[in-house]
Amino acid sequence: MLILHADCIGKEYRKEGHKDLVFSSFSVDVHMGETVGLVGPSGCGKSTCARVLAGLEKPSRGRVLYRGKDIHTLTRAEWSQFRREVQVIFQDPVGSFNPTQTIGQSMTAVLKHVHVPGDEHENELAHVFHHVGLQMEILSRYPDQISGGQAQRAAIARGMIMQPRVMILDEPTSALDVSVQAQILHLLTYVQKEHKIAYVFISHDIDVVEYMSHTIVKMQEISCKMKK
Amino acid sequence: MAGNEKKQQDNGPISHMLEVENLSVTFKGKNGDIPALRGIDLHLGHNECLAIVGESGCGKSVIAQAIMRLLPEEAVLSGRVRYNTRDLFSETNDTMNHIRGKEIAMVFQSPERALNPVYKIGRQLVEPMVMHGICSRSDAHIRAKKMLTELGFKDVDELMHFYPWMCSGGMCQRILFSAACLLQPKIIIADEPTKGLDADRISDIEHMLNMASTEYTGVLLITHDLKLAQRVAHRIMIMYAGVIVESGDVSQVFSNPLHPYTQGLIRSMPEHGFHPISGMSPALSDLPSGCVFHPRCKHAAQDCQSEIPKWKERKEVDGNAHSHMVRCLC
Repeated sequence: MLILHADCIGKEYRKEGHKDLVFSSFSVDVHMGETVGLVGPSGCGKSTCARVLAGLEKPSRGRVLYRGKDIHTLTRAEWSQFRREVQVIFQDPVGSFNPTQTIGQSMTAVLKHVHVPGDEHENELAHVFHHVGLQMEILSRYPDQISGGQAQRAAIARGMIMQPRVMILDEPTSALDVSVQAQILHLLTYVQKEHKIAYVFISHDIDVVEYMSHTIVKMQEISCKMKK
Repeated sequence: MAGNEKKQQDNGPISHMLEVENLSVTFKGKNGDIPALRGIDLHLGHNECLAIVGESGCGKSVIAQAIMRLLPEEAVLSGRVRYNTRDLFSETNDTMNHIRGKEIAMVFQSPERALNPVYKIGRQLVEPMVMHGICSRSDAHIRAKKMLTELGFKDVDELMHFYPWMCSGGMCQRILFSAACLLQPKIIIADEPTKGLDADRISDIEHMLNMASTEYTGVLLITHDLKLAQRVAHRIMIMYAGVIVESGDVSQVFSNPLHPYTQGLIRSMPEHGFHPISGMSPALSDLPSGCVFHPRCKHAAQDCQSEIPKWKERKEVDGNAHSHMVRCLC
């Protein structure tokens, strides 16, 4: 089932009076429970594309459709459902947490956001942490007191609390060591199987993308698409 | 494989420019001591590239900082670092200032942070050459531009007037490498030179590392990138939780890894199917007894929990000149 669809999207920024084109005519279909890999050299617009797909930026042309509806014409209620169901995991796992809050505080903020009652927070966190292979002791630590692998697991756990249907993973293992990378890739595969989440997996590492993806889209100066 | 094709120049009898003997570093902290390095031995010869490979936080960069005497005061060092005939731990600060850069240069990780953001690139390349008395300022300008051109930069004149923040991570890394090479040091220590770079930029850095080890000097490459080490280095040391666990020629270690941790790292690589090592690296403040790897090791026996493994040498059947060493009880 098609869940997220980019229809000939393009993005440009206005810079000193002229337009700076980041990418153009990019189309992609993301199906429930499947992974679309997005590869390309640095500067080709992969991360910008991820931000457009996640609704963090508006495309300059084309449309992004979520469950068949243009995300920039959604009602307020539909928009907040979209923002809950489409989660983004960033490259720098430590930097994606608030440095002034403990991991526990960052997690609790998300639980409150989805209206989980206070007395259920611990159970809910224990459940999600067990899922991603984290010890509860890290809840009292600050982001810079845990390893990159632990932070990326925590970021995935935080995303999962929202019970997403799509996860946009922007270079999720680039900052990690080779054995931790393997652990995170296995975790992501397991989470996808369990919850039928669709992934948009962005990486400059073709080996990682080939391992993870059902479909691969190569981004170059002119977007082109290939089936695995 | 490239590793087998790499050749060192023949300098007759083996002479080591750099020798580290039984180096240990402990950081004194409020909550107790943190043993960052324990009993590190290594040596580096002329035109040789030695890679130290291990996961983040295992203490790789501490080795580099200990050699350069850049560790903070709370670090307690023991052991010896010998550069040619000098004992670096007993040299004065003035002598060390002369050795740093001119004799042993270091390319730090995070190039954007290693370059001064308020000085132009040209100044940062020229200044060290003038300071170390290598040549005049005008000559230094010519040398800097020549080096940048060799490294594939196009508008060199314009680049000399750029600030670091106007350059990408890959450009900054190449500029930092140029700054090190321009001083014509005998040893270059490259600390995670490819971190965060994409494939094209990694091949630029590889080219520079090869150039450095064949044309100039010995290279101590510190990296978590196994593939880079395999392509560039002659010898490799695998490090885990502050200890070297395996050491040998690159081709030996990759074709016949002896330590279960090395085997695990190789199995984690893409071409071997991303099989992870179970568990996590221990915190240096809370190391397991006996063999540091035993809680994650599939082959761990009773002895591994209490006995610290000593070096064992494995003779290779093909009669390779370098020995293949492992610290494992199995």
